[in-house]
Amino acid sequence: MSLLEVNNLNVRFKTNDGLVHAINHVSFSLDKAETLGVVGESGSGKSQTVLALMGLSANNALVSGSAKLDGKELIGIPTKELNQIRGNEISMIFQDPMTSLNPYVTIETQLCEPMMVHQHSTKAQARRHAIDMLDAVRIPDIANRIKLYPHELSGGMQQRVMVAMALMCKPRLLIADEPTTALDVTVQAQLLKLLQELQDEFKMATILITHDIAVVAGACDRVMVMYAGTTVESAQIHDLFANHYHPYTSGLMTATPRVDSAQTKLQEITGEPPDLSHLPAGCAFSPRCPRATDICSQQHPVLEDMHDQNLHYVACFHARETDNKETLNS
Amino acid sequence: MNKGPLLSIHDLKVHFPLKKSWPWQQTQYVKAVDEVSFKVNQGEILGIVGESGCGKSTLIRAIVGLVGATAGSVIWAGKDLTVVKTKKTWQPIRKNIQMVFQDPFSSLNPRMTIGNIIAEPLLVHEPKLSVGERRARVEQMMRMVGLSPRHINRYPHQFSGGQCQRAGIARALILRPSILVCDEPVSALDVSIQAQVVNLLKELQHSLGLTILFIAHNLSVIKHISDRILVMYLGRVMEVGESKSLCDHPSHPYTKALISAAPLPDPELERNKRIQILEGDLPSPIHPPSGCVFHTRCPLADSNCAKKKPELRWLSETREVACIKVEEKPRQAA
Repeated sequence: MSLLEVNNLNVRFKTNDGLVHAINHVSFSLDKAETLGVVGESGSGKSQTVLALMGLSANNALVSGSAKLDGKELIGIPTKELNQIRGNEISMIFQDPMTSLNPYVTIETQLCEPMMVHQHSTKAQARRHAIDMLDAVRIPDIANRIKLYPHELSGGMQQRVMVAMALMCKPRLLIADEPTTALDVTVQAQLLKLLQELQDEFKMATILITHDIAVVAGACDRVMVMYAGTTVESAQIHDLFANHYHPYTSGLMTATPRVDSAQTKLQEITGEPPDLSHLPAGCAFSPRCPRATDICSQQHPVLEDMHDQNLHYVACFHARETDNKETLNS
Repeated sequence: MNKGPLLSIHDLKVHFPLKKSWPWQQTQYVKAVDEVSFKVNQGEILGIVGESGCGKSTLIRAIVGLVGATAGSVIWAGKDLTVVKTKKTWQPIRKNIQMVFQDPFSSLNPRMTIGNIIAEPLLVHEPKLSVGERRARVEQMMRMVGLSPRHINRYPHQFSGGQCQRAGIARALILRPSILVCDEPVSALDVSIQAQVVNLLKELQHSLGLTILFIAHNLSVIKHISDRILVMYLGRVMEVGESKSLCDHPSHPYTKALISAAPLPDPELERNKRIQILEGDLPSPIHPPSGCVFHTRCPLADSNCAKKKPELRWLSETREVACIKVEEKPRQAA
């Protein structure tokens, strides 16, 4: 049985401009010790999906659907029960380490807190464990660093502290929401390597959210590509890069600049992402899609298995007609 | 395309004094930019790349006169821009050197319409234009950057990030400057929109003969847009060269580390490549390491590196590098 099972998740926001459809019918599952990459541009709903799992959606959100962690429902349960799961069985790393650590509290206190709350350990036990964890995330000179306040550390170090804090209770699922976006490339490389090592060591499942398809290529087992709150394609990492059927996925691949390519002009995706409160009638990508026909603007495409070697789901009416090689060459 | 240097920067230093804790203390300085020299050729795009805190933004701010230079010179059209002090003497220069900023939302005034924002430089620099002429110029500019002139009366919040960045570019180009300075213009944008803006800048370079200074922390973006690349680390220039050859055959160990750290959108390559992980953090620019500033994190460093500051020297006709270790190892055939 898979560790996390998300079924038909919907998130809508009530605003003065009407309902904003942030997440529409998202389903996925995650096995133990598996890494799932969620890729998409801003507003594609990748963060809202995991926030809904953690019960962290904003007050005006209407969340429906189901998400089961080891058979236990997460959506709609009382906050008290959720609090026993959050930080204990599921923990999260946020994008900006500067704003997600409490500036008034030393690193030691912040690290000890989750263990003292969830596992009722003593301060001394928690402190010993905190030192082990800081060692695991390769922070040098721990004896002195542990007494510091967050602002006294560099961005990369702060993000390591965030990772250590997330791992304090040995969670079964780690959610990393754009953990490297605020960091420089050299620090990003350090952190991604660290996350991979820790995952092997602690045997936890990971959801890695990023806007950079290149980060996913190195770090994940499976990828889910999101656009305007829906999953457009989901596959094993090697399958996705070898054969992508959805035009948005191909667009993302060709729009990403690479250091190793000689081409000077980037393939752009024309147009802008849609307004989530006024989604197009059919496929949300149809206004920007080079393959769009009449049916695309009238009906919603559903996720269908493409019958590759492994499961490969695509939501596109024209997925079977063309393969990615044509779009790449055009 | 190369018609000699349009802008030459010589030994430029920007040092910021720190606040003293006691009056008798010696003043300390943050050496944001230290002994930087380079030339910008007419009609080229020069990419400046480096991690945050390496002084790339301060460098271009010093070039356009937004921060004062401590020492050195910036020569443009026979004039040294670092000695120009008054607003009046700056004005004719500013007309020729315009800037595009990083965050498209906060660099546009939310209470002005897009049309007024784009027209504002004309009010200052060409006040004699009639209302009709000004409007014609604005509409022409909007079309050039891919905005619909129908949206002339809209406000910035009614546009997406990519469109706001286009408006920022239109505002910079309406005075027909010869140099456009872009400070991380695409870092805040999504990949698909980023590609649109990069392609737009490239088109404008060809159609208007613009010279562009382009800053980014992402080497892959820089490689796509620029003709030449300048790599900075801790306020100093590490390597300068033509973009393709620099990315394919980097000489400086820092450039090599930057290139190996850039993730590739290909699982096979990405998992099998050797990443040269730089250990540790950027040293403090208040007390930069002695000798080569990179020696504390450099895999090739030995005791000589800590003693002498390496000068930027020519490695080949198109490549300059500041590292004493480079020649000892024979370079791979380009």
